Amino acid sequence: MTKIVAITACIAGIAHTYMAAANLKKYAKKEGDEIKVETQGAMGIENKLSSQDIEDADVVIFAVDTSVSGKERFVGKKVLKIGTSEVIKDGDSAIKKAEDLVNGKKQ
Amino acid sequence: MFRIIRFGVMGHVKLLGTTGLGFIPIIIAAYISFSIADRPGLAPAFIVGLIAQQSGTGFIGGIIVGLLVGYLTKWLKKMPVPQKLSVVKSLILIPLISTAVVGLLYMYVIGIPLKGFTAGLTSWLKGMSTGTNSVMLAVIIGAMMAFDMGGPVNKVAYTFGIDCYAEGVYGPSTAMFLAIAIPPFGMFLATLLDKKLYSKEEVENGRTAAIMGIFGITEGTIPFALADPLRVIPSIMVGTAAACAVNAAFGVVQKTAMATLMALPFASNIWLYGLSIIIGAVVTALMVNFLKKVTHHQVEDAEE
Repeated sequence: MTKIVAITACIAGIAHTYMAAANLKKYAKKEGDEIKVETQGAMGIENKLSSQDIEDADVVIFAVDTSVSGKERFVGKKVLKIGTSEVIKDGDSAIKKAEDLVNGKKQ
Repeated sequence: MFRIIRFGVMGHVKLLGTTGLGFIPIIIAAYISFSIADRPGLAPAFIVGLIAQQSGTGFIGGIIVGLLVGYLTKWLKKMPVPQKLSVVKSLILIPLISTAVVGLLYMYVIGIPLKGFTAGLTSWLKGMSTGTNSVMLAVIIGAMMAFDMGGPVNKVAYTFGIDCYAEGVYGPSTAMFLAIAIPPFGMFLATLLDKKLYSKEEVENGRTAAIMGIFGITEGTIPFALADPLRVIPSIMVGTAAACAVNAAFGVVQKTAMATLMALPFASNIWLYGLSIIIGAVVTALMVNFLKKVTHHQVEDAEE
């Protein structure tokens, strides 16, 4: 089981941000991973990750099309950076890629 | 005479300046709200902030609008809506409700007494900016500006000065802008007068501080104050207050938003304004060196 934290953010912050968040949660659950997702959308930051969450996480997913606010919180963590549409199209492989990153496999 | 020209190049330069200053209440409102309510707080506060700015309630109006929009929006974000409507909530409901509620509240309820208050404050300041009161006010502004060299107390005096400037009350704004570079100039002079009282780094730092002072940055004085707060801070406060007081007693004003030395060509009396700067620096330097000598202050790397 992998512990994942993720941030989703898109340009407008209305649709993709939340769809990507939903998809990550769905496929993480399928793989039996634990995931917490912070959304940085039109409503601002929601479900903000605590420093404990970040500390405990094995891997960080940035599913973003724009910049991440509070990037400095993730210094020293393994980060997978992908676009929101990739996650929405194929959430399964996004989670798998993150797991591979933890296990040190080449992508 | 630059200040009475409203057309031509100087008039346009002035237009640039007043346009920039005019943004301040709007930006204050928007970013106070942003800091409370995150992104949904921005747009409504920009709109109502502009209303506050146009109705002439200045900085205070901007601060109040920012707080009101911020907390209302934060509360509205908690409003439960069905998942499918959450987009409608963030795109339409929250901005509409926040803007309408705070905007109308401002126009019909808060704005009216606030306008009276701002007008009263301005006329009180205008009253204070002539005669003996103006000297007293300048002393207070000068001491506050020097006290923490760019920190919170300094910023209170600064905002007050800018506010006066925007209202066209130039006495306090002159004192505030004059105060900016007195501490660095004073400390620079102090290191020149008696090098033995300062470490090599401090002498070097005195030059840097003076250059920063020319460009309107007080913070160059901070290393001196950190190394020896009990002697340096009272000295720069007294020196800066002296400069402001003397200048106010001379009745010199300058109607630009430039700091100490850069404003010199625009002062109503260049010689007396320059004299005020020199007096401030000299008082600061003599007092700090006197205090350091009398109390046998030794610099750490001085050789006995």
